[in-house]
Amino acid sequence: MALQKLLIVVVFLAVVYNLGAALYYMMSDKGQSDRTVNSLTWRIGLSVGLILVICLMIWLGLINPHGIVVGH
Amino acid sequence: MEHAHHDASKYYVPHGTNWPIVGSVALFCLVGGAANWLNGHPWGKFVSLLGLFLLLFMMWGWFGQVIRESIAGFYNRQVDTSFRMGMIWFIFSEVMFFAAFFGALFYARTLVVPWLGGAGDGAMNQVLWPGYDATWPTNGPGNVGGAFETVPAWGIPLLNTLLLLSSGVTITIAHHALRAGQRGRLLLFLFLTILLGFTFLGFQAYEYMAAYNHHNLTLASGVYGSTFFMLTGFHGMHVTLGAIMLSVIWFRCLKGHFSKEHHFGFEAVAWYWHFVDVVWLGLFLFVYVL
Repeated sequence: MALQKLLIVVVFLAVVYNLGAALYYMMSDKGQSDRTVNSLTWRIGLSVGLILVICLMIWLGLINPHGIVVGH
Repeated sequence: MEHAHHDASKYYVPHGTNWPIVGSVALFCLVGGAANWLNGHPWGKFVSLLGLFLLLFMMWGWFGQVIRESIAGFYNRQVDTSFRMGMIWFIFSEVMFFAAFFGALFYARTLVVPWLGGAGDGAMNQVLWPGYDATWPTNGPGNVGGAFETVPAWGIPLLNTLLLLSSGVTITIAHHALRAGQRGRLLLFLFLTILLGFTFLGFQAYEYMAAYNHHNLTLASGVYGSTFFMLTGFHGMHVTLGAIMLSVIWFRCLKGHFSKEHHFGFEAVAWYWHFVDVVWLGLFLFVYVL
């Protein structure tokens, strides 16, 4: 379980990194290069991949989302 | 000021404007009204709605003024830099804003609730709530708000995640189209992005109604209820604002305000949309799944 969660968090951090890189390129390149749009393409690509992997993990029972619980 | 924009070394000093004070009054009414509405004062609804209309009026007026000044060529490179700096500070405040709410969630979930359940030396459990068995999600040992169920991640939250991610894909296609100078593709995919954004909001409203009516999960459901609704609610407001700004940008694209090299308005709003999308991804992971 811990390994699956670690994988999810690492990919999420890569998504955040690409988002930050895009912000940096937007400020430094001022619309004159493709670096911003390319970073954003990475960020959405990784995000879509992450969600698909999570769906697969839930499907295979490798991770359990919060069940219906609570209220003692 | 008419000649200042031709000289890159001179800073364009804007004329006096009333929009900031209009915006402040609008936000005060919107949030103050909403807080009173939630606490059972019927007049809060009207004050809140008044604030909303004032805010939309401000957006119409302020956006319009800036766009007209930009088209008139008033903005030189220094103003361009200040717009970009403004964006950076705006994003910084946004990151801090969501960091505070995510921080509250993590603090409650990984520290406070286990302490109450007897983690550490067990003192808090013995002294405050003997017999409390810590779990997450929880409304705390006091069972504040009564028994509730969480919204299962496999239903509407997943659908909404897919909707927002699709909108991230469509806006990226629109962005590439803008850089390639393909106007038709830009307008089509930007329009699809807006459509997906509003569809997301529709489902989110439906989910809130289901949470209140069927799961008894409300803003008053202890620490889980309050963090859940604060995080998803403020995210929803950001999607609303993003969708409004995307709509403005769509009309600006239609009017040909942007070129391959000059499109900061588009790029800033597109980036903001990606940011809101990543916040949702974090929400989905940490609130619903992990």
